[in-house]
Amino acid sequence: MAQEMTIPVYLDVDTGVDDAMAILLAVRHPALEVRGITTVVGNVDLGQVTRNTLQVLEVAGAGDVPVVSGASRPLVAQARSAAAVHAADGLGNASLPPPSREAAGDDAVAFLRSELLAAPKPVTLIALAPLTNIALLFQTAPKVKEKVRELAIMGGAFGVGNATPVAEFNILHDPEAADIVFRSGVPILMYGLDVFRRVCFTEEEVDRWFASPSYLASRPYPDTPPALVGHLFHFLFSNFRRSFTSIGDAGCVGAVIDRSGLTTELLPVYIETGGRYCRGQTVVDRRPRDLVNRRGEEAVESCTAVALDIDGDFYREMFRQAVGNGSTGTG
Amino acid sequence: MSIAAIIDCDPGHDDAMAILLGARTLDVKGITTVHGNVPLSLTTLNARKVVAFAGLNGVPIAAGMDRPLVREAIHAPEVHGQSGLDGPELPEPAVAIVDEHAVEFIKRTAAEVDDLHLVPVGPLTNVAAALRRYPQLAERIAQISLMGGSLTFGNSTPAAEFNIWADPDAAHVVFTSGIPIKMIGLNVTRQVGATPERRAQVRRIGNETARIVAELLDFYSERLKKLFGLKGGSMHDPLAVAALIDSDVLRFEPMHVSIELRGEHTYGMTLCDYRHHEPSDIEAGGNGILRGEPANAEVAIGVNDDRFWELFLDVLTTYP
Repeated sequence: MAQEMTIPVYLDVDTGVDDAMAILLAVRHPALEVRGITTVVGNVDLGQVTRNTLQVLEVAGAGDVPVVSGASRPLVAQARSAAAVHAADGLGNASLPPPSREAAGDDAVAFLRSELLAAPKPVTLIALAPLTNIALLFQTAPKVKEKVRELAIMGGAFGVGNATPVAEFNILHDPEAADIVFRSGVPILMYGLDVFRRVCFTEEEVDRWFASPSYLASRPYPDTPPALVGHLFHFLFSNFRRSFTSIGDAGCVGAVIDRSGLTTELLPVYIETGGRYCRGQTVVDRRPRDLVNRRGEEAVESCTAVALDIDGDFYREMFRQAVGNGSTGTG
Repeated sequence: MSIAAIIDCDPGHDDAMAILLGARTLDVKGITTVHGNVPLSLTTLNARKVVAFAGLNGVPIAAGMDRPLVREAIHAPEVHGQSGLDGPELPEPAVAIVDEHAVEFIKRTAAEVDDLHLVPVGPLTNVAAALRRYPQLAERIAQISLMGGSLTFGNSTPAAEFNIWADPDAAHVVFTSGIPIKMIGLNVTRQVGATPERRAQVRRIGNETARIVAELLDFYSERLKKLFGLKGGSMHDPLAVAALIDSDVLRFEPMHVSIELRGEHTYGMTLCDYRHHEPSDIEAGGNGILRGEPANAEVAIGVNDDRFWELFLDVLTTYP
């Protein structure tokens, strides 16, 4: 097998239960080189998001990854909290010890700009949060767009939403920023709710591969990646009263690691910034091309690959191997 | 002690007047440029030309946002010509811009200078981007005196004034920032025109700067006459400077201003809540008068044209 190079990536997060799983996958998987993480308000407030990110990195043994905080509120909209989904601390009350370091800075845009402009080759950005930082980056430093190989976004849906009937939380939180980003011309992977919901583990699997409630009860806090994942999953099971749940944002990281479990198509995507009921919707034009052509509409070249279908088992296995018990280097 | 300020502008003829007035009456820490009347490359070049012909080469210039926050960029070459500063031959710029983005220049200056004022006289993109990138910045800005919006009619559309219309989302960010704001809108700036008589007064000053100013105002006034039937080009932007240095030029009333971001006909309008009868009602809090939201701006409601020109002509005499 040919030696494969690692993929350099930057993550933009609002940690968040499933952001935490995504961070664990990103730093544990050998295919990625996480060069930095920027934080933005979203699931919880910016200070909590940044603290959570530092704490998760320490549990993952990746305390050297630079973390820089960014926007503390959306461009135009009001901030809204998702603490009902992620608990007040954003991590399902994980009670992790205070991080041993602080963020390396508070200017995420300047950090990403200088990193990207200095990068010898285009890099991948993985945005798992409202797109405020990315929009500010593209608008204040348009030159960086040439250095973005792909922007993988967890956001939106062509089907059912979560924050509203049609809107997904990350997009609804800052629709204006999303509008900027989706019109930026940068190659985008839209990893939306349609596939996000379909990479799931059951309670029984979580107990076997990550950590069981009794194991967690025997520890002062979830101090290893599998233990933290186990804690987060069990929080989700009880919070949503379900016996299975998705790895969420981590699936988007998986899609960057290996695209072969994902079916995508380049499709026009528009962000609804007005709308009485539809603000924050990602309007994906999935009409048959011949119908659109017959209507005499101008052809729209899209650079957004919309995830239409997913092989859940493929990404479950990837996640289990990278962060589950018995994987290299875990406790 | 004069007031420490950054002039954020998109020159533009009247922006040039704001720079000339501000450089002699304020402690100008820098000029930041933004897209607007013409694209950023030209507004930046024009700012450099203005400091060159006025001998203000010590004032740092930082280039900023080349596009609005969300909407597509729009320009006004019909008012300012293709260069943005059409009219007289202008000398080539002598000084380069600083190697710092305007948004970062504003943030750094605000950290270093107490009681910093911002005088934005173009679209508010730089100020908004700075506020969103640096959440603590709002506490460091003493006041914003901006040219934009209107208590009454618009110019770009029936409802909207150009600077706000060119980036309504940015205007929303600024008007909801909590920073004390003076809004100098079209309703007063339209009343201060560079009529032929005023331009003759400028010419009589006799220095080289005044000669260039007169020619700039000739071109600008001609354009506004054709476009809007005005007797003289409106001195929009220097009034935002005047508001900080002479309390007799403009009269203000506190009111709540919101920016229309969704309207079909009113996109980019500054909706000023003027639901009171007399200025004194504001202090007296009369019974049964609808107030709406608490005031977030001092909105200019009246202007003394003579007083402005007295000030402006005085300042022009100090130039080479």
